Amino acid sequence: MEDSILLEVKDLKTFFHTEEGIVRAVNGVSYTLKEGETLGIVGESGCGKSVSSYSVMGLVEMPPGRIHGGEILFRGKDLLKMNDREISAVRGRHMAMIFQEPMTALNPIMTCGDQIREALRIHTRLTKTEQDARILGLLKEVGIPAPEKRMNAYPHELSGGMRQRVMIAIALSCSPSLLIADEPTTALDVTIQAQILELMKELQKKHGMAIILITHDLAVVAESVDRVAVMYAGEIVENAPVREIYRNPKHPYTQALLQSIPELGKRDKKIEAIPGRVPNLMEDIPGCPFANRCKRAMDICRSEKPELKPVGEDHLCRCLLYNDGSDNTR
Amino acid sequence: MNEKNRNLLEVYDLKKHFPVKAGIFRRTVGQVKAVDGISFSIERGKTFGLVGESGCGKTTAGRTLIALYEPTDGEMFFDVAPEIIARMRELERQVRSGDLTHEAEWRELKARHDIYSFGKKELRAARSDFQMMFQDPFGSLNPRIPVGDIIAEGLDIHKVYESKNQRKERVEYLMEATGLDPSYINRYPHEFSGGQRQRIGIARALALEPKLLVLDEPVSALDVSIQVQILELLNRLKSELDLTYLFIAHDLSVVEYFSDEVAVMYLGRIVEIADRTSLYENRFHPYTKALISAVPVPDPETKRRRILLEGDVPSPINPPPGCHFHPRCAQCMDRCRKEMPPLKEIRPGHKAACWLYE
Repeated sequence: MEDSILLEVKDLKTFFHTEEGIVRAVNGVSYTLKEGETLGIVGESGCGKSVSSYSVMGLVEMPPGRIHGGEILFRGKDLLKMNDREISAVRGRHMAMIFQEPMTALNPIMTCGDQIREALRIHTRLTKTEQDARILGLLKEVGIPAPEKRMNAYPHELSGGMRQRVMIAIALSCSPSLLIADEPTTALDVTIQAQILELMKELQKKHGMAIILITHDLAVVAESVDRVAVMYAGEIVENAPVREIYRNPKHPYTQALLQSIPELGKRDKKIEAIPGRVPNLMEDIPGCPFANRCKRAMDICRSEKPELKPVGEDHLCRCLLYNDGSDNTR
Repeated sequence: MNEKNRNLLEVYDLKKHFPVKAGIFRRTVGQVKAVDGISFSIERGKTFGLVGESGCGKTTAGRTLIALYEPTDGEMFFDVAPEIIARMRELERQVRSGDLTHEAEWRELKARHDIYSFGKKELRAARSDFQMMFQDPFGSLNPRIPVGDIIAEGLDIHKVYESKNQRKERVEYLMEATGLDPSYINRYPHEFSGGQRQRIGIARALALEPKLLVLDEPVSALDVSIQVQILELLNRLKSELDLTYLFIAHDLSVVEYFSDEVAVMYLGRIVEIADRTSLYENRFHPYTKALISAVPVPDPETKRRRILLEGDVPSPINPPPGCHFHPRCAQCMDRCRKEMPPLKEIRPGHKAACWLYE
């Protein structure tokens, strides 16, 4: 069970068809996730980290979105080939998602208890009393004080941290095997963020679920995940175990990102900005999309697209610097 | 004391309370003590960081400071000689103790130097010396006005140019100084990216050649790769234009990186204040300790003992008695529930408000 593959995404392409043109939000993304593993997908706004996970959940609005290719295998079955009924049976039951802003994700005119009940009603056959007991148990499990009272509270009566806990309770209601967390702590204060990350770790240990953590925050990722996939302009540019990413980053973008964040207590660290900004995803970039901001760009980078290739044990990188198989370290 | 090391700004016991109204007659039923008596000073040419979680009052403090809000109480001295402030303190002490011989002199000095005692006209004139830059690069720029006019708004209000040409020159200079292409002078805010919009915000704040800039979360809405670009720009402008910064942010790593001195706020009060190295290395107040330990570190191999705080920040309408932090504090003592600890010096230049260091 431990090492079996839960989710395999192969060459996923999700484009948005807008009036101005086609936005290649996710442009050939592949990764695998083992049972019980935590994968961090890191990148800046517009890199496609959220859209790639929304595609897995089947939450991309179509139109304007359209999946142009690829496979999403959940325990070996391609979600993209399932009909709506089959998808709904997987989504919510085996996969669940929590969002950045719990206030907009929760229904403002429904009590917290009823929102959990909704998930239970759709995916389980519990009686009303059994549901009540399960709701109470879930609220207690996610650390909500006085759950009997909070069950009947509306989302606006709770703080941001409490709302995120309710979201997690809803996501956990059917004991999913995969939890996708989209910037779950970005809207929260650091002390509350620490509480929520701790809670997610605890619950993962207890339920053995796999987690995809989507975030822009390299520090949050460092503390919470087993593997990291770094995304840039709709593509994964580097994918490796978390220690490897921080000890031995290969892609110039990953290196630049790590160099651009101040670290508490490390005042000697030389902080460097990344010049320029992310490319327009409507343009079809002929070479590497990072080339125009890259310190180590070569002529070939502007004309040839690099592929995601192994650069070490269990370490993939999409960069022409490593094309000949040799390890051109910094 | 020479010009250089003089304090540009001194704030004493600044308070800002907002009334809470309820019922059909909108009667005042309580006060939100957003800022409840904070004092600090900023040396000329330095960056002073104000850090805290949402609702701690840091933004209100910044806005009250530059007189966007009228303060409930407090004094602020901007670029006033230390001898004058010392004289005023001395006179005030006399007056408060009942000796009224110098009352008139005290009142006169106060009216002349305390920004919060200024009349409307004087305040308006003084205002060009301190400007603010806002957090939200989308909400803080009027979408219907071209950026050239947004940047020149302060120039228009204070009428500091003689000709249209002079105005344009100044705007173009500001755009260039903040790294914007001056040929975009007639474009609208939506045509710019988040990072560029923050540059517009900086250009607007600099238009009147202020001495102090209040930066309210200037980079928190930006992507990491852009954050450093803006911080570097701010640092460059600071030395080029001889500026002083009040930097308000929730991100401790950024505050530590960018500031010379840091004050930590909790529920309207400053709980600790120190230079950035001492704050990180000594962290006396239990809240500061928890806050620093909660900041994630971008290194999977550091294992740290994290102090997890229980619960949320209490409501500022009805803050807990005594030390505001006591319900969440692991080292809470009897005294903490009853008496408010004063901010006092624990090491040279390092102050904290906690009974543990009594």
